[in-house]
Amino acid sequence: VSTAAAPPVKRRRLAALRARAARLPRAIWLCALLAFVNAVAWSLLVPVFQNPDEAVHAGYAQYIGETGKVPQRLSTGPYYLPPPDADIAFSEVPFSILGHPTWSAAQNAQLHGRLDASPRPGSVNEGGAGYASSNPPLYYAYEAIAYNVAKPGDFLDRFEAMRIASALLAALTVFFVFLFLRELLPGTPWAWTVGALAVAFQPLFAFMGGGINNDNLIYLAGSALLAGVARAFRRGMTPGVGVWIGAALAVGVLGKGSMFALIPGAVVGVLLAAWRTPRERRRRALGGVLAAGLTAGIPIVGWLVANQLIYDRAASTTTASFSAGSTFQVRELFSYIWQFYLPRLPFMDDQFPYAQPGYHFYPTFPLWQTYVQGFIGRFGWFQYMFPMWVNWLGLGVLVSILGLAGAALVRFRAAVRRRWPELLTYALLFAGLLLLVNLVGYQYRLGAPHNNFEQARYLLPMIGLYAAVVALATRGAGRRWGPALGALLVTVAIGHNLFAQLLTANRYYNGATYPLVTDQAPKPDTKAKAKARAKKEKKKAP
Amino acid sequence: VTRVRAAIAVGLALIGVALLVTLLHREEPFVGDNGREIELPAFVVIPAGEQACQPEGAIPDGAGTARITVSTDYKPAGPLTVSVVRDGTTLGSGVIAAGIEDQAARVRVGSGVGGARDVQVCVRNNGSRRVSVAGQEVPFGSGAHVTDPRQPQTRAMRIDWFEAGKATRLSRAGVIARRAGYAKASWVGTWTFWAVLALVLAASAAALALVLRETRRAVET
Repeated sequence: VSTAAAPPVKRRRLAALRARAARLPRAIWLCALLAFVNAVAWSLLVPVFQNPDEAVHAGYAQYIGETGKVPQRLSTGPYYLPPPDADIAFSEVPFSILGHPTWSAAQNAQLHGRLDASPRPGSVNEGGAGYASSNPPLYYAYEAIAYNVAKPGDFLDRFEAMRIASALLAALTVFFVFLFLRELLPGTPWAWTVGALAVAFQPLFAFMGGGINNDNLIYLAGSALLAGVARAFRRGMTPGVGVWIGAALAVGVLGKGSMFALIPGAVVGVLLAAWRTPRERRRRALGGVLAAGLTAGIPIVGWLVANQLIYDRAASTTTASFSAGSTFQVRELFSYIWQFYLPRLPFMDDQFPYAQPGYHFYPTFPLWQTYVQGFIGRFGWFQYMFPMWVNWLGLGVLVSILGLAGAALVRFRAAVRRRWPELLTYALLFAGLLLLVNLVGYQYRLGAPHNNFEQARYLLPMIGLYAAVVALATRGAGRRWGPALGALLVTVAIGHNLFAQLLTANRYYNGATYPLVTDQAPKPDTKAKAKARAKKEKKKAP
Repeated sequence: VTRVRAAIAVGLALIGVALLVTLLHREEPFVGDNGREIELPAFVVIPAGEQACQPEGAIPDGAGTARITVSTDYKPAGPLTVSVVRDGTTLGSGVIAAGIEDQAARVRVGSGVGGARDVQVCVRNNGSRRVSVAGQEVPFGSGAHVTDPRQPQTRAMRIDWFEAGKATRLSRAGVIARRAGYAKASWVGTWTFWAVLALVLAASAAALALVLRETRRAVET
């Protein structure tokens, strides 16, 4: 970019920015590039619409791209009412959660023929945003740029362009994860690369990064927030860092409502970081707090107002998921959240029951089935995954990593004691996210009993903490073995990613389709369970 | 640095072995299904010595092996004979050996059934125990007719079809690459799958080189 014609102030700023970028380690750019390449690979591998809710997310972006307007929230009618071109793709790919896309060359030719027909099929319908229309518009406005760049192409060309734009967000997320680790573990530069690459090759993250989904923007925002908070604690709170943190929050909230979950932790973090700033810089730190508040608050409030006044959408369009339904009970919510992670206590109603002897609703062990198995790899519309033995193996690896990270915390307990406000902030951020997802999950269940809402992807805004645990684990292995462990973990992540892609290729382009199984009646018990139950019943009999 | 190299080598060796096992695994390639769902407990019940026959408009091209999900109430059952019949002529048949127990069972019925139209698929229970085949409720006449009139006659079996012969997953790579190019952006084709594979492998190699470089730098400083 030529700066010759730019005014002096702008030129100085650009030069400062360049100098700052040049000071960053080369590894950060490479990690981001590799994350981008991997996410693009996923985007080309996964069939159209197979990222969760991708049809409506694409529909929202398409509507903005075509009209420049934010779609109205659907209150009645079908969940998804696409414009003609998206409708052709949807029906001729064809979309199916359980099935596979067409394997027929003739149908493929027909699909492209219909999309490229003259005149081109229409591309505008507000209903294309479907049930995603309640989301804030920032992610979709960003995607609309890619949509318009690829506008000379047909619907599927624009679709892939939007996926690639998402991959760019995945790359930026890894960039901020690297920055976060740099602030968190300043004395171990190689661990930054290890942690960032563990994220770049984490299959669920890369799968999401290769799809059109506003989750990608809050992964970026969450990682930027972590990096900003870590910077505030390490270098002291300043107006610049305040703007950074506030911008991360604003971008996240304007991307997806679940970012609200991170606000309490961020507020505590900003205040604690200001409190920990040396006394002589306290005034500046207070300026940082103010900057964070204003940078986050003005766009968020502005959006909530504009949502209602300009776009004629109720403010609840953004915050509706937090409103309590009529059957909402705090006691039941507590019980639900408790049982999501821990065994049921005697006085609690069973929130994840066996529906009938031998048959149970999904999930019965939610922490394991939803979050652990989901993180190891559950793809598509939370539909297909690795064989169960891989999940057990993955659990072993995750537990080992956690154990080593715990060992590192014990070894460096003096630093942990010194940095407790920072660790508390990370814990609050993560807890806030867990709680909000569970709160929405509980509300979802009130309307759809025993249906599952939670998915591992909802936790990825805090993917930076996963990177931190991986990096810490390498520290836990000691100075001698740490780098080797780091290299091994990156290799494992690469293998994990590769096998997830093979699993995906087999799922969509080779393997048997999944029949729809409806649970109208009990599934047969396993043999062991049937025996155990018979024994129990025999005992009970008079 | 030696330890780092060794760790990468161990990791790559593990990946290599797992890849070989995965890609050289042999199985009958999937060709299609009969579109029936599985509704619990709407299974087609076939008592000992009885038979269930259901109409199928078309068997997918290339099919030679059928898969049905059989419930046996935790006890070994069978044998079951699966046959494909058109106008009284058996186009192909096979036997699921005795000893099946609550499982999805595959049976080779011969490649002569692939592409056949307006046929009956029959499952005869030659064993001494009752079995149930997973399926769904359907209107009377469109589902399986069970020779024992006391059994429900408004259910249809779910049948998955596979090729008759086994093939390694590796040998399916060309088919996968072709299918992966369908229903995507106009510039995507069979080549894209190979390009994606190359991209992922290159990115993986670059990541390992980066880790090696960073850890070496740490040792040197």
